[in-house]
Amino acid sequence: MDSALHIALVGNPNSGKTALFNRLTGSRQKVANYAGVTVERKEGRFVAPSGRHIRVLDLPGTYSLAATSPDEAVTRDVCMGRFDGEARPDLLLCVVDATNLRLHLRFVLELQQLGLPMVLALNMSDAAARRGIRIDRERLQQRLGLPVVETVAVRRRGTEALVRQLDAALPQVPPAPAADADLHAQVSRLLADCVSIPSRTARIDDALDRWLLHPSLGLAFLVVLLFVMFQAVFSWATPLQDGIDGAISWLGVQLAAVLPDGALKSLLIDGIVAGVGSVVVFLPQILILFLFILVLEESGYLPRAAFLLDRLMVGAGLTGRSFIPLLSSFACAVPGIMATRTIQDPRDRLATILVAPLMTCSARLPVYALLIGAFIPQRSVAGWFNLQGLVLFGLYVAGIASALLVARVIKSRRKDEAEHALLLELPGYRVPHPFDIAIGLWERALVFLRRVGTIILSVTVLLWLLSSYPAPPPDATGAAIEYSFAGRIGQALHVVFAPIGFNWQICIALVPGLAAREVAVSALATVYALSATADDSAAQLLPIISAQWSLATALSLLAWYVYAPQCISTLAVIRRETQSWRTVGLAAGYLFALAYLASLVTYQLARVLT
Amino acid sequence: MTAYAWFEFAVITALVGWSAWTVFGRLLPGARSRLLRALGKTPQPAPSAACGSSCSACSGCVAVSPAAVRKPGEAPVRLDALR
Repeated sequence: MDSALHIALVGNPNSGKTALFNRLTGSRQKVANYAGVTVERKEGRFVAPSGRHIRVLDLPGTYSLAATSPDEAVTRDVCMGRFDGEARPDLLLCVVDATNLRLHLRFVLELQQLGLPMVLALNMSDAAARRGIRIDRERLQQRLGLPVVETVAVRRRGTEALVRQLDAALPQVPPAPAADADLHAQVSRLLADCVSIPSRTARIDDALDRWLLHPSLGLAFLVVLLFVMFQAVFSWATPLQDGIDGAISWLGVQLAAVLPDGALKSLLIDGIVAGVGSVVVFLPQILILFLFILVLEESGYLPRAAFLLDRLMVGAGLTGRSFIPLLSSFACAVPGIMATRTIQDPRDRLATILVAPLMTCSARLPVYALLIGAFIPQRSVAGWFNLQGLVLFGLYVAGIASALLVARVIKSRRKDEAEHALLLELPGYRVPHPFDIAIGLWERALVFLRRVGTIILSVTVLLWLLSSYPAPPPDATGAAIEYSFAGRIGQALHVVFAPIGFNWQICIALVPGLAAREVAVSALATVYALSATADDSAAQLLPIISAQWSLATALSLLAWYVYAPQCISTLAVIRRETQSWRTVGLAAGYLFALAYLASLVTYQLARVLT
Repeated sequence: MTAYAWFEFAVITALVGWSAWTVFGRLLPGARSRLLRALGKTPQPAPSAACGSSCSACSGCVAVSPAAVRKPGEAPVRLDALR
């Protein structure tokens, strides 16, 4: 039996529960300045100064215990002791946004009706002070009948006092409001007694919102912002990429000089250095993309973008609530699909799940960057724009436009075309803290390098094995790889993919590329390195493909990657969220069909035009 | 066989074995856990314990205990919902 004190972190969305959870338990769960980041319960533990073991559950934010979406149902069920396999918590740690007590205190009063001991964390108390909001903590504590602690979770402030409070004896169960009490009236009385709010708060926020939420100027700003982001991905990354590229080439040359000819030399140079090295060079571009995403997440701009795009989303058959899941899918479709749990309507949720894989995830970036770098000249357009950045922007737009079109088709097939109004809480703007952004980028770099060091390296090693054996017959005339297992698989698949312009080397890369999209880049590098004869074959993939492929083939492969669900994890998470293989089959089927069709049209058109 | 040939064989075998195990774990995480349990070992919670998808791309799943794994059947959304 677990004797640890069992605490549940509860509160309205975007009150800072996960930031506090991270501070208490040393975890690194994702936090951002918008509602709905946490969609399932997370568990962590820590030991209090007295030696007491404390188990903390971080629960999805909710405005009420009357749940309307799957994530809110998790919070309700845990608090009420109805969650399968989860005991009722010993203590509720309710986190409220001190700048928005009018909204958050209502939920505190509702929680008091559960009859559980509770501690209140007045989070973001620094932001409240900056806005001139003065909270009489002791008076609030007295009126609510529960301990109140001021915290600033993102800056560690107040955490020690909170831990001391949690380490002390369990507080008394607070007095509960009557079941039929008017909670809004009670909140008003509490605010009048304990809180002094200046008549005009958040002037800067209001001024910014006048421009950024403007129906036309706001949209124009959003388009320019995204455009700058994709320009930067190509323009800023080049020097860093050249440095990494040079280091990898140097490593290949050194290994070639010291190792005797044989299988190990081939594995290290043609397999690992060529394959893994060809993916590592895209680290700067991925970090630049995430720099923008992190800054936007921290600033509080993203929910505004959701508000701006609501009309467009509804027109396409989605809901404004789909925006955050779809935006998360730009990093990776897996958390994006999980984030659909914040969508109440099951039809809207399923439509969002089905189109989320069309958002351009960061794993596509190495593939796009490789092909754009090889086939699109690096020159400026109209003196301002980088042509390569423009093409990348176009690929992202193609993904978004396709998602909206598919959503529209799904909606047209629904019998019930009811639309749901978007109710969205707009958080205050925050200047992103450079340290937090640096930590976020460092974590992204580690995640990417871990991915390179595990799945990409392991698939590359296996592909090298399949591409090297069996050895060619003594009278072989072609490259050795053509006689290998991988070569034979590639040639068999070539029959299917020849109409869309893929050669047998691309066909080989598509198979391991199902494990993760960027594996296709390392697979291509390994296949071409093994096809070459010179010792410096590990040098670079980019000049090889630009010399051996036609522009039509490159464009066709780009079109393929806009649509193809080349990601087992995405299909697995669709299965888990829908509990249905039929839905997985539908998603994979329509995406592969779209990919083939788009590649076919692109290839045939490009052949005619070039 | 020369000493270098033995060395080459050992390194390649180890790398290929590790790679096969890693890919097996990614493509069939449930099967790998079952295999480990059958061998009397306790499977380590995957870094992706929160979402169970093994993608590790969002870093939203770092340092999560196995208890946080979502149970099957918890709020699934079905294709029939589109009707």
